[in-house]
Amino acid sequence: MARRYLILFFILAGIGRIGWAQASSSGNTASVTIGQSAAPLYGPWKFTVGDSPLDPATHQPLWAEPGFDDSKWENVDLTPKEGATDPMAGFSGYVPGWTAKGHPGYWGYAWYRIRVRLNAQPGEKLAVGGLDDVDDAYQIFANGSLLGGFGDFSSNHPVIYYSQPMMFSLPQGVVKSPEESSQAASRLAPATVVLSFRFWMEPNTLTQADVGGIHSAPLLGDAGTVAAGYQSQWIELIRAYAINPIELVVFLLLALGAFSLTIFDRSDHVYLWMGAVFLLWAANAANLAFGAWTQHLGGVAASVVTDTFLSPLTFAGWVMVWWVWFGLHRPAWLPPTTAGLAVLLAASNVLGGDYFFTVVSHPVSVAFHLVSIVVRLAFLAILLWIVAQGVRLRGMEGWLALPAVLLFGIGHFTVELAYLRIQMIWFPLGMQLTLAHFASLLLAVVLAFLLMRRLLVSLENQRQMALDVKQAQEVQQVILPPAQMTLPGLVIESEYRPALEVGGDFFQIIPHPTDGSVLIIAGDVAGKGLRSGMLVALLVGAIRTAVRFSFDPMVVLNELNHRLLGRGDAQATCLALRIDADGAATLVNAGHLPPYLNGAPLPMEGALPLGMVPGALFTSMNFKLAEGDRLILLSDGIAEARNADGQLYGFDRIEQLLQSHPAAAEIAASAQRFGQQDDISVIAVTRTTAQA
Amino acid sequence: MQSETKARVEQITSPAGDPVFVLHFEGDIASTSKDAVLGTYQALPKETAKRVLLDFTKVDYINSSGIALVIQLLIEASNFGQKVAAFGLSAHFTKVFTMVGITKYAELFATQAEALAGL
Repeated sequence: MARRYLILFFILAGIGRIGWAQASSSGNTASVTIGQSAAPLYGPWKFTVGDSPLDPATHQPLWAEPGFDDSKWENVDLTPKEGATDPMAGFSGYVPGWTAKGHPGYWGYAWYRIRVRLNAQPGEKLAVGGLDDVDDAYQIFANGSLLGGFGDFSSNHPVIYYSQPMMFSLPQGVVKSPEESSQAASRLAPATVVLSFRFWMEPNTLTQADVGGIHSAPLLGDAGTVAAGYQSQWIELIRAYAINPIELVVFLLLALGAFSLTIFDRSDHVYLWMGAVFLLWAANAANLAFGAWTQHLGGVAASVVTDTFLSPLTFAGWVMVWWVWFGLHRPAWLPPTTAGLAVLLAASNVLGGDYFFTVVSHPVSVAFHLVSIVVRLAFLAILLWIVAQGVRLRGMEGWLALPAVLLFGIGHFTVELAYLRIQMIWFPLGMQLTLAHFASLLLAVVLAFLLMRRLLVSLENQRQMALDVKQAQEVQQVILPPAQMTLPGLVIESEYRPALEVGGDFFQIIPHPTDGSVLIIAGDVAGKGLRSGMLVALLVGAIRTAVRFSFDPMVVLNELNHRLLGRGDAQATCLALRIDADGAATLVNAGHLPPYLNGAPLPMEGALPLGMVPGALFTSMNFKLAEGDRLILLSDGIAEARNADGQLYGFDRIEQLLQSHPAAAEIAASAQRFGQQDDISVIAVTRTTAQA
Repeated sequence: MQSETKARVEQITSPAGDPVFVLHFEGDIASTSKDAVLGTYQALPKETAKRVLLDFTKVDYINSSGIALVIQLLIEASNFGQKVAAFGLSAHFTKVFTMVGITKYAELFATQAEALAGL
């Protein structure tokens, strides 16, 4: 319970940097009186750049040994200025690193040493903690013995991580120096321990200001007290980067929402672009949280992922979002240029980030960093140009996007602006919020508003379109002949079942005004739906016009062919049948299914559909209908009805069905039940009486 | 539900030693198959592709729009003086192809070997 109260105190106090032990320094030795407490080691520290040679005997670094003479090293004081906080993470008790203390631009190895005289209860467990703010990796030695470290030093090039609190136990033997062993039995046993820190800093860390080594004084003291500070520092770290998992969830939901909108409108690719960009943002948030809170992803790897993939793709993604959103098409070179810029940004980021300093020299890296700045400025300029076009074309939507896009662009210059001492990071309630966070939040809000508005407009358009389709359907019903017509010597029944609201099948039954003949024209426009329906309207108009001048089926089909030519993909199969008063019939076919006479297909040669070639030769035949003869005209929607197993209704089933003399509606229903794929139309012509 | 049209080009040699381009189609052929049908055909090198075979063995369904695409292909091939044959059609679509006059532009065969021999 007491331990819980202790932790609580650290949390409430803003933590970690408060020492309860009495700490003082005299000469080159710090004195610490320990009593269930810990103290920050502000100094006197000794410091040097470079790395230690190894002791040939022990193979341990000479600079870690307690007897090493560090008197010629620099003196460093880690006492923070009042109210000083880490500019990146917001931790209190911040002290600038070695680049601000006489070693600007230095990266690589460096050492810190401190000699501490401490009084502790015999057998008391001691530990070193704190160190939650360092650049970048370190090993800690106590009187020459390696206690542990932060980062992976197993290879020539240490692997670094984002700063995390660490805690190292001091072995009992380390704090009991030989000359003071006689006092070991006393209540307080003063001992001297030399703590040495071997630091490694990546050149890439130099992109931030005042970096290098220790930024918060280590804590030395009772293991339980240090552990309490360690836990509270973890809470502080979690709080500092808590925005990342929040963003992760928000962006994943936004991505899901954007992708879901494609269900309503597959033609609008803006939702796909948005979903992709939100996914990238979610990946970036996950990358940051994972890097900050775990040691599964190295700091360099996390930065390379961001700089090489996420940042360039996000830039390019937003360009495409707004490009598509505002419906821009010119200049056509802009989308491919954006892709090229993204590749260039990825390359310049990774080569300008000093990540591969063993291969790419620092001056070369600086040059690439300048390229990166230029490319980011180019991206920002493109984004602002697109938004300016948006303002011109869409007014309010463009104005809404402008501040969000501007902030987003500026947010990609955080490092450069930080160098100019322009504040880009804030810490409300201890949580790190950068300009990029505000920009992404603002973009998300703006997009949510615009999406809602677009959805409402889209719904209104769909309602209008549904109305148009309904009206087109009504028009199509009007131009269809009645389901049953009784003419002198003929009974004609018809059935029409479009696959969609508006069909591409058509037929016209036109009695001649004087000679007692009738002209039946049936056809099928390639495709279905509204487009086909509009072509049907065109063809019906053409038929009505043509028959005013000629009742000859060949003339009519040639006229229809002429009407369709040069209209892109406008093609139609069609047949024209003229039945004279005496039952003599003339049939001309343009690729349509030949009619069935008394259940058997009429033998006709094939011919090209309408709209394929000028001057097409259509096949023609003459025959005579006797009393009781029944002629069935079908569209291909019957034969090509397809069931769930992929089987076609086929010609055999048609012939079998026709043996039972079904009504036109029964034929259509049979195919529809089987599995309608296309428009279905059936015309049944029955010769009732033979007339002279 | 229509399945996507896939198209693959294979170059073989006729018994006479001439190069023959075989367009293997797969899936359904409908209005959405323009790129797969016409696009694949139009990508053939006109100077060498004097003989073309259309393979419909793995085609399940061809609707009226798909047939129109095939006719457009054949008319274009005819304009370029290419010789085209088709094979692998089901009995149903062999009849449909005949009705729409495709046989005036391309002979229909049961197998690739027959088509190659008849080309």
